[in-house]
Amino acid sequence: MTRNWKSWLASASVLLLVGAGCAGYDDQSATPEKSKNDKTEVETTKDSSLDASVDAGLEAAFGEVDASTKEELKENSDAEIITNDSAELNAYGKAYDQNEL
Amino acid sequence: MAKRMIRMNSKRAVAGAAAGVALLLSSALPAFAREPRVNEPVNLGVRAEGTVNICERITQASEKLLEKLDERRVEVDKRRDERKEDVTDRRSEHRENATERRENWSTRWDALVLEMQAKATTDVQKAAIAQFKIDMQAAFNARQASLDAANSVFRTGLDKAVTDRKAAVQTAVDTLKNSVKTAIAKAKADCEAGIEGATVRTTLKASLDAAHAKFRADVQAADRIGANARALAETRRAAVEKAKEVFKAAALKARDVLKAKLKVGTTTSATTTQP
Repeated sequence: MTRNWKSWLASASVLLLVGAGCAGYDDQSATPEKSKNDKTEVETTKDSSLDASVDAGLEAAFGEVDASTKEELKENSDAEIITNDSAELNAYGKAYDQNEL
Repeated sequence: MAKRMIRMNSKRAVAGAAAGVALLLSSALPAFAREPRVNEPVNLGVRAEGTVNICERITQASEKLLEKLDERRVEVDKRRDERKEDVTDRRSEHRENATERRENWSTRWDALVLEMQAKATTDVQKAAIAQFKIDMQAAFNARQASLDAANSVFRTGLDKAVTDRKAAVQTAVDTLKNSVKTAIAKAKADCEAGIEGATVRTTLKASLDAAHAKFRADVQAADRIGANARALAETRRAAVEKAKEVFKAAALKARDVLKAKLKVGTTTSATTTQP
């Protein structure tokens, strides 16, 4: 009976060791899997952040082009300068007063 | 007898008084009937007096008119010189602002691209962003080239308009002054020739009116140069707006190409990291 008990104990120990070994193997295989998942998550975050940066860059470029266009068009008012002497010419043309004759 | 004598004397007195009054009236009436005379030649009469008055008035008024024209000419010339300076100043200010703006944007854009590059994790993504930078730069350059071309056409046209307007105004102003001078000289000559004052005045007014009508027509023609300048501005506006739209289309295309590449880059990256 004692011998049986001892063999049972030895078998149990072996089983425990094997179990522990298997568990250890599982742990080892589980860790890289988790790490891979984390990496994907980081990549996904980086990808969406890159996407956002591209959109932000484009939006900034559009904003700049809109503002620059507005600024460019201000020069068009130079065309109004051409007739800046209209009032003076009008006065010149009215120097003659018939009543003074 | 004495009464008869008295009656006869009183009749004589009345007759004498009447004769005296008649004599007085005959000498005084012509003086009331005539206007005051100024250096009147003996036989010219009322007609000559009117001529003299009108001629004096014409001389005074024409001096005033010529003075006014000269004074106002100074103002016209002043505005013309200001116009040239204004165009030069505004243009140079615009160029400085545009250059500064481009430099600032270039710095900002480089920073934005660096930010994108920092977020790229794969070579495919990095290459895609490098190409995006090239494509966007091409779009910026194309827009700038369109702006430069539009500015060149506008500025050259405006310079010509300034020159044309200057010449047209100068001609109009000179023509008016010469016409006024000629009209006044003719009026003076007519006066000296003894032509009726009213006729002299009517002729002078007609000449001055014609000169002023011509001046107004000349100014209207000069204003058409202003309208041409506004047409140039409109052409430039359309070109600048078009450059913006073309840029945006090119930028969107570059973005779409980039995003497609980024997607492929991500898939490739995920595939290569699979065990």
